[in-house]
Amino acid sequence: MTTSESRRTFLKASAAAATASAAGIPLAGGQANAQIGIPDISWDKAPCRFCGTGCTVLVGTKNGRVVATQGDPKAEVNRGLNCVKGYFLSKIMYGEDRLTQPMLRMRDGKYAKDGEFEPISWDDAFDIMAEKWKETLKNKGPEGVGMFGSGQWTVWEGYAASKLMKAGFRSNNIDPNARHCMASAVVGFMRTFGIDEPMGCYDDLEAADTFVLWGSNMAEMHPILWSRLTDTRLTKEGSEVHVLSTFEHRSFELADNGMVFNPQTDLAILNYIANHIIQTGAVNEEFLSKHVNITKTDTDIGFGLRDDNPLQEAAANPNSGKLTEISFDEYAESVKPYTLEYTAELSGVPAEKLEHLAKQYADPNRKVMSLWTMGFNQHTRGSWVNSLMYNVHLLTGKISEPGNSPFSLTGQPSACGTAREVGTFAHRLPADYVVTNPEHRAKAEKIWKVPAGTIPEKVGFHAVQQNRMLNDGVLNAYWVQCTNNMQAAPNMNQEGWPGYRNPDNFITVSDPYPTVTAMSADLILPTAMWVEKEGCYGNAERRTQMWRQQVHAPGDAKSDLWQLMEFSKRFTVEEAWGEDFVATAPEMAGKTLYEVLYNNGNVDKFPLSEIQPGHPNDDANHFGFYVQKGLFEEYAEFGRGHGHDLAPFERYHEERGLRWPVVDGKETLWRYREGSDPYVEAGSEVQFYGFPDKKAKIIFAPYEAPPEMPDEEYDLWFCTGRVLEHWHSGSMTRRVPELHRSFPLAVIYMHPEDAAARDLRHGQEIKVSTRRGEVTSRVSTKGRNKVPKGLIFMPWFDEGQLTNKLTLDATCPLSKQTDFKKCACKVERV
Amino acid sequence: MNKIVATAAALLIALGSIAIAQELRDLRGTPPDAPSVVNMSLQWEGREGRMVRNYRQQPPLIPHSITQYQIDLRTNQCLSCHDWTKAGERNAPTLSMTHYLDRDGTELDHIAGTRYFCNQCHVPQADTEPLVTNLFQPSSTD
Amino acid sequence: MNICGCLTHVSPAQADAAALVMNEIPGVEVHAQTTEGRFVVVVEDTPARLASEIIMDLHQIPGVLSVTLTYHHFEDIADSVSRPDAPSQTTSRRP
Repeated sequence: MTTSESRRTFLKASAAAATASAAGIPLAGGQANAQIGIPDISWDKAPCRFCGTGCTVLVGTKNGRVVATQGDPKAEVNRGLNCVKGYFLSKIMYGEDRLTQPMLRMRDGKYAKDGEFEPISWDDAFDIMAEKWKETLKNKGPEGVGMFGSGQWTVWEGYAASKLMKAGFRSNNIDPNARHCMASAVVGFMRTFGIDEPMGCYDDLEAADTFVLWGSNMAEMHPILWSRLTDTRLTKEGSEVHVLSTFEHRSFELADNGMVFNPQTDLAILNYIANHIIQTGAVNEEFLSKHVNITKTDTDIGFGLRDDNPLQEAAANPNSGKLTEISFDEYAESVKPYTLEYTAELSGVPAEKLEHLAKQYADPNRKVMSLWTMGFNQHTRGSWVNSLMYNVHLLTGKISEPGNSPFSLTGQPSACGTAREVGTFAHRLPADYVVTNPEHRAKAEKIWKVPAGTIPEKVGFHAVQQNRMLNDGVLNAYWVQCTNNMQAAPNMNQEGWPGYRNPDNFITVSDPYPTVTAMSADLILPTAMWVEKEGCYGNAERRTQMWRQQVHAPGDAKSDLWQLMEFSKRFTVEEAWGEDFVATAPEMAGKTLYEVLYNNGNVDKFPLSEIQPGHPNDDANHFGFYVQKGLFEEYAEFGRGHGHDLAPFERYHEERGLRWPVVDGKETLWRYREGSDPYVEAGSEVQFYGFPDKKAKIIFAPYEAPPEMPDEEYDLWFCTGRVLEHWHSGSMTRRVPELHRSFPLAVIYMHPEDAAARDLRHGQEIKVSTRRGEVTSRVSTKGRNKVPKGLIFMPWFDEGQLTNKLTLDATCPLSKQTDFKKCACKVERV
Repeated sequence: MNKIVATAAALLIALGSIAIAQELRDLRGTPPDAPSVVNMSLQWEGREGRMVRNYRQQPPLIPHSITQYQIDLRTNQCLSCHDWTKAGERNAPTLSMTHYLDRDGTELDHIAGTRYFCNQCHVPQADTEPLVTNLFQPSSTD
Repeated sequence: MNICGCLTHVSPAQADAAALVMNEIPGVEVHAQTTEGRFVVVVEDTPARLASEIIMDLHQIPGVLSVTLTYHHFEDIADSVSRPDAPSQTTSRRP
């Protein structure tokens, strides 16, 4: 609350008190929203629990419960504004079906894979879980255990989990749901810049002249960023908004140039823009020669399907990401076939619209911000299309300065902060280090104080592969935290469901609510959420934000961090590492994983006395030290002096977040630009220092068709996505009555003519089927999405209609991220 | 006294949810591998009459259908009743004063660009029951 | 800005409906309500209307019998966001 707000609150309370007293009316028993006059609500900041925008909210608590939330006026991201989900955050923890005790599938008092869920104690829960993990480690080795985490984990939870898997169980079989969300963006960054995450920041939303949305429905998915963009569009003369998508959605309401393109042809459109820039002489040659290398990537690389899939076998260079240096002229030749006429024909977008778009990028006097999310990332050529986007910005030098900004948005609150920065991917370690690099492993082993050789070199199973390996019985002991992957992962019928229910496997799911994933598990662990624990998230503009615990979790629910660390106490290094490896490090003999990983002099370094008085901290009190600070400071060691510098821990509790690298106490707004980024050497103007030669890469890639397209039998494109009112599979938002009522069930958006051709009326129940399964739903021929003929759109938040029974588990072969936007389906009357 | 009552209530709620957790049920109501559950009609936005807010900061819900209302670059039909210049004659609630402040807090005569798309915060309500009871309690002096 | 406390009498049959309407009016908060239909209402300035104008509006709500100003405070809050477009505080008065 600002001073003036609290003063007003006080004055109004005085006005009420004086009036009540004059009239002899007791003030107690007033209306619910008379609370403003009551001074005993305490307000504290927290980042919103939902999307990657990273708004700060003020959480009002009273008597140990959250009673209100509001946008934080002091937050740079949202300046007091929230979207409808943010305003109802106060209710997400209070669904009546919160899990409050561990539940195990049992029969006759014992664990049974086909048993019914019965409550058990934490001790018994960890007993059976540890038994199964030890059995698997003994029989299968570290390959047989795995974990699936989340971009909703706090930074320290992701860090503790990564450490537990990579150094504790010596298995890289850990991956986050962020794999489904922005793995292609990551590969795009790594291949083009050698370092992850956007160079620009949200300040670009006020600085740009032209905004181009590429496969992003910001109006619904990033409403607060959209409100900033809208403000710029409505108040800045000459500004323009261009929106590209495979169907018309709410973001088109603000579009000066709205373009609906045929699925997958974004690859061609980007090459056309590059061609236009070259043909019209708009290349920034000085920038290009100083700061950019030009390459092409291997083509015909398959679709990330199982190796024995015919499409995979037919590929010339399956999964190859090989880059070959080419000259500028060779590059110009490569994009030359993408003429305006050809691209307009292929994409279905009128030529004048495409040309108008290309001119935005080519005009040296217009600052362009490109924004994208799932349309680019959930794409069988997702890694390519990300780099094609950078090609356009690099050709013109429109990058790393206010308003000139290729910007990859994220879906989850800490997809950047946790999944990416902490290194919870199967191939990653903190701060962009990777497990395949011996120096990186050595650095991690040194910081973690574990023996040389602890971290395995082999890349673990990625998200889609984990479900396949569960299905095949290769992965047997599996732990899912903080995500609803049965609902979220592709091809549920053929991979996810049979994988979880495979009798060889023991599946543990930690969640606050009985989600579809929890109900598919063998053991459910009740989990503390959001402000029931101290936390840290990182948003899409590299902003690290912290919050303090504000209320206690219900019943026996415990944070993911508590669960990870307590579970680690169940294993000695002999059990986890094997006697042979322990023999190479005799000083570790007999220790538990807890002692090795968390009682290591780093994590337990800070005493409880450093905790902010007046705030509970159940995790720290349980372990006897300021565990969040210890984990954060150990983690921060990876990035300091390495382009990922974080501020001291306490600073984040004071600020509304800071954008890394934070050097000498100052955050960085635009990376790679002299004067803004402290890592850029004086006199060099721009340095893409992710690569040793400090140059970024243009990566040419051609248009290639997707693996499954509509045919005679399955005659429609099937595209999935989200709605404004629900997030994270609806596991929280559908338990808030107001959000539920605002979008109570998933519907299939269909063109009226397609509906008429199938004799369907708006609102009618229909059956959608693909080669993998069928789902019943209702058809909508009106409403917020206007799809073109030949395509249907289905939001996947509704667990009554499991959308992913229909989707194909084809991925980008480089990023391993699923294409949830394109497969073939048919629609029939029920 | 109030505190004691509230704490007791919170305790009861906590105990209540333990008892409920023993009958584990997801929002779906049938096993994940069973057919879909589509038992709701498409008749949304059925609620009428102003709806109670849970706390002052909550954006008011929309007690009428908005399917015919256009909000785009050309027009914002919500404003034709709810803008301060019209609300009196149309007998509609006026936008809150916060909606006439830009990102820097400057007062404006017209709605701020950041608030232009009303449906980012304000949503209509279908006439349907919650999937699960929500135990949130607004603050009060009871 | 002006902050007013008003004792308001409302016909008991219409009291609940009137309370709902009042709570929806920007700048108006019902802080207490008795079974006999007596309300403690706090009114403050909004950018569109002065508290005094809003109080006049309250009379128009169905069921409202009387609105009596029993407390008034004016203060120029430094970083206040609320300042009416209409000319100044000259309309404010003490009972």
